[in-house]
Amino acid sequence: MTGTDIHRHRTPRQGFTLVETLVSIGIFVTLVAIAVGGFVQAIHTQGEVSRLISAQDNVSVSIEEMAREIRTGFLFCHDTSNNTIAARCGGVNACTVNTDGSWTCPVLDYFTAGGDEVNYVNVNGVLTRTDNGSSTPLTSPDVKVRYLSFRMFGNQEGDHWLPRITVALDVSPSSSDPAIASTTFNFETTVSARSRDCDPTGGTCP
Amino acid sequence: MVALAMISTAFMGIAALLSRSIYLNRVATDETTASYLAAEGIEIMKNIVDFDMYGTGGTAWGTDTPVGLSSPIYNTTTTVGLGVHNDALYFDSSAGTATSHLYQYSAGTRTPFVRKVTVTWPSATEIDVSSTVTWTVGPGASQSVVDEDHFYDWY
Repeated sequence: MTGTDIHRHRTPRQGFTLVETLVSIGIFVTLVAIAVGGFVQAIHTQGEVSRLISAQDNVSVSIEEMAREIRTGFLFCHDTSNNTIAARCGGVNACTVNTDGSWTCPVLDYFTAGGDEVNYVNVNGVLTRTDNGSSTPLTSPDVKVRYLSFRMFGNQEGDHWLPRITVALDVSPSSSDPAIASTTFNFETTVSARSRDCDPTGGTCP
Repeated sequence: MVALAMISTAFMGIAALLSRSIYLNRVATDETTASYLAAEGIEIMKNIVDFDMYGTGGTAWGTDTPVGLSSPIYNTTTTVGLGVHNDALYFDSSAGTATSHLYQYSAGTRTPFVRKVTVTWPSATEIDVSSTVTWTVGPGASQSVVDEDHFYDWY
């Protein structure tokens, strides 16, 4: 056996050079950074999707609740002095009188079939329901109400119309992401009350 | 390179999933909006039908809701001669106007929602109303919501 043969069969024990190690660590750190960043972005996006879903759910529940009560309600934004915009709906300063005689108000105040005085209003971005003076938020902090108005037609005695209430509700998800926060959903629906106009001075109201 | 390819593939999947989730949420929101617009069509027609009963002592059943196709909006008081809009509803996002934040055909931005209301009279004492809202969800694809109600001359 020659010296050359001995050298050929010896297991090489060469290590990595410093440059190779640094490059490897650099690549590894870069990939980990990309991975972590991606996951953070994914979690963030998932949160925004949840907010969008929450906004939609909130609106659905709120509109359903309002519509159900409006159908059986009476005296919509209507005080007892006949054919005037009730002060509790903001009065003439807050409501707009339209050319067809309808009113557009930021507040909807009326009496439920059970006789409770209820109103709906936008309080700092939260749709709020007040029942006999007790307020309850209908929308969660995940949702910001951008606009709320109620257009009332046929809510005056003697007009032969059943009250027709058009609800306009614009909402956005509450989000730190400007792209998500600027997404506004514009909902509109109309509800025709099932009860005829009643005369608060004639004892015909429930 | 192998690790990079694996990570890239994984993130492409996640990104596609989230993108799909946002898209589907948008579709769901459009469905909600459309369903309320369709319900509005029914409520407007019921309001008019009730007026015809109350307004004239019950002798003018269906006067303002003749058989046919029409496109009523929030302030429609009769569908006689109203006609049908084959184009989409507009949404007015401006403030301080008569149409502010309302869906109609005269002001604002065009929406994807097309609403048509069909009235039929199966009998002398029944009016059937079908409210259809159709909207596009992509190239060549559309969805629709249909609400139907039956009104009887109970006066």
